[in-house]
Amino acid sequence: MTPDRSEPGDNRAMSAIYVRVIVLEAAIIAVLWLFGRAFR
Amino acid sequence: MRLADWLVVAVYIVWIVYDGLRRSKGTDKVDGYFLANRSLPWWAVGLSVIATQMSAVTMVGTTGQGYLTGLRFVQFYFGLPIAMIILSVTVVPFFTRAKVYTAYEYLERRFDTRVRSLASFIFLMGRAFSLGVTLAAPAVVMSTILGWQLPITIMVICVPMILYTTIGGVQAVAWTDVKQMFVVVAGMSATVVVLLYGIFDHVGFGQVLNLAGATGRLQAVDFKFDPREQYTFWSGIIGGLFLMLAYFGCDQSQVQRYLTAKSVDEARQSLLMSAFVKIPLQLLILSTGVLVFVFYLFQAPPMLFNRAYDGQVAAGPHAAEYAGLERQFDAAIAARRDAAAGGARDAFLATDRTVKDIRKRAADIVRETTGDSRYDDANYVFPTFITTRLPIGLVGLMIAAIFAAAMSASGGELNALATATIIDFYRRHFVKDAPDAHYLRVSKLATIGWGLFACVVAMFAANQGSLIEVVNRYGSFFYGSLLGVFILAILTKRATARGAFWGLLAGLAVVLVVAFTTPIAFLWHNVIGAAVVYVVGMAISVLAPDARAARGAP
Repeated sequence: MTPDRSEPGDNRAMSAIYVRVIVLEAAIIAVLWLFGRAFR
Repeated sequence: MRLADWLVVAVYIVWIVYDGLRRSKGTDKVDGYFLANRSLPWWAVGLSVIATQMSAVTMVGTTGQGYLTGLRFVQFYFGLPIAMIILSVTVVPFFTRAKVYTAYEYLERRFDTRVRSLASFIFLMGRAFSLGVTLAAPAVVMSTILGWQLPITIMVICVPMILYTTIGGVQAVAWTDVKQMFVVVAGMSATVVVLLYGIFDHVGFGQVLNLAGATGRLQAVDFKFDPREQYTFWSGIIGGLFLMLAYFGCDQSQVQRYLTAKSVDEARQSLLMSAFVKIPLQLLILSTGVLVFVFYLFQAPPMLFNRAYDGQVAAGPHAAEYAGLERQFDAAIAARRDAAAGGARDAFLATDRTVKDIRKRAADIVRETTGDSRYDDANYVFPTFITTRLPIGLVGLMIAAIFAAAMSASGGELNALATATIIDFYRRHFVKDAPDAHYLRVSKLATIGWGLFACVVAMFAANQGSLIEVVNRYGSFFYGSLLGVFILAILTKRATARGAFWGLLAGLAVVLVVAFTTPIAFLWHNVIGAAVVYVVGMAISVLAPDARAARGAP
């Protein structure tokens, strides 16, 4: 019994949200890093 | 605290209990009591997920960490958004479609009863103790503020929470979580405004950043790879990923939140809400701690924030030295304030070091005098600020917010403990075919029982160092191993029940040895636990396949 990864909900809309999550996180980390370098 | 503040706190508690009880409609069956009849919208589930994770420990402990070390603790959450995506793709559709009550039910379908019971038992033990620590944080705060006995404070916090959780079930928990999240965010935001207002009397925003940055408090990201270092980019993104996968994928207190969602997609969206919101929310809380630090550069702070032992120190053998330190501290604070206001960086850093040294010696004196080796100051920074510096009314709102955070985190955990107890043990092993009314009755008894157990644990957990770390450390003892057994179950068909069972035990044993004998930071315990379970589980499965595997199951 293994998970079915071909859920109907697992569609393009969800994939777009996943991409947005990753982009937002990368942006936050980059800003925090630059911020730390600018003020030290 | 003034009368108006007390009124705010009292109104909040009455309102939250009333609202929780009002939500008990439709919970006369097990499905309604534990899963809200799978009817909740994604945004309510999402807020409940965030509220369950954001306890009073977060408000009290994280602001303390922000004050002492700055933003670096945010790295702990770097793995969370990735974990949410992985879970949305894998276990969320799986658990939702399987119509399970607990995550551990799936382990029986995949392996056997032994593995399910062991995993559920590990969850119950770990979560029950964590719940105690979660309750201890606000109890410590209120005891400090009011001078109440710890047991009384714990009961004042626990009784309303146990009441609405017992009567209203998961539905009461979820809807009160939603309201409590608004109270928490409103309280924190108002505090930030007050802080900025107080700071801007002395310096501008640019100078605030320069002062916080000069002391290293804005160095949020550390790319150095050192497994002994608690919070780095790597420990957060790798160790944190494993911890969050385990927490949101294998911990019933979180799995149960998204099992209440209307559909697979709504369950996914509820988790992705955390992926978007969690890091900014933690930054808000840590930044509040940093702002409290800057605020106290211009307003004299106490030498130690935790004044619980003042009387003992004044009557102890180091009383004269302590009094001398207080005089030195006042002078150092004045010198630091002048340096900070004048923008003299080197002088500011030198005086800040002096202040730090004096505080350290003062804390050592308290430890030597009282014999309390776990004496800690970090958790008292924010409560002290709240009660001494916030305007009337806002003090009450913040105390209510700490109550809100405590109750929202504990209610969800308590409900999950009752669910695992009844579904994985009582209904599975003892009384298999009773009517719903019977299970509902024992579920309520289990909720009360675990609530009282957690209260007892809380009384012993109040002085255990930085509370946020204590909670995460307890969790990391078992989370990695739980994740390992789910990886075995989901990612490979070759794993057998025997392999999973012994792999799980091996993972727990190795993590305990590593935790107590090596300096490896606790976030890595999750990676180690999951890896050991997987490797040992697969080795046993291949070398000694059990009868079920031999028949071709699953």
